[in-house]
Amino acid sequence: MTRSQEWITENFESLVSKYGGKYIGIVDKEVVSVALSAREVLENAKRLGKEEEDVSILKVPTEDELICVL
Amino acid sequence: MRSIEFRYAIHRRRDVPIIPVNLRTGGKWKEVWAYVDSGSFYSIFDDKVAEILDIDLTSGEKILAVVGDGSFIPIYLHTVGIRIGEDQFSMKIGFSSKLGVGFNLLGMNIFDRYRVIFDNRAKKIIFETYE
Repeated sequence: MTRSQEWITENFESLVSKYGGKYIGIVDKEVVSVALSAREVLENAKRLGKEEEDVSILKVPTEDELICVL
Repeated sequence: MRSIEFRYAIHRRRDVPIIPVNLRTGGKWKEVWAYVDSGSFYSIFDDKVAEILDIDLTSGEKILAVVGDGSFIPIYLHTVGIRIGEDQFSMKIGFSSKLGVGFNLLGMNIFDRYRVIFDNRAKKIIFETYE
């Protein structure tokens, strides 16, 4: 795993707390885009000068959705 | 044989086996996270992931899948390029606007390619190729 990917797993709980129900884009251990769709996440990131291949896209579950995971 | 390891995410002291996979349908790779779900027949991603892959959702083969509450949801199967670590291949992924869970799901068809080890003591998930 890359360091940025490890950062996502290490910070998953706080990401759920802050961004549950949304799509987020992460580049180099930083949340650079938050939106309701993956397309918006990429478009926002590109506007910030990020390469789309560098954006890690996470559909963040809500707390309730995590409770329902079997 | 090659192996790729991913650390579990943790939520409220529970292990959450999510991993990054790269997907594409001819364009650039897109890195998307998915929950490794041995209880799902198919790999099923949100229709919003289909959008960024420029997939015409309803042009795929339509199937109906039963979800947790017993209802059926429509899923459209598409062949997608996938990369896990450095390993690249193609496989069918279902996309649905009715997924209704908080994650994209990597289901049983990924287990055709990998021996998947859920190592709860080490808090990691290991993908081993069969070849």
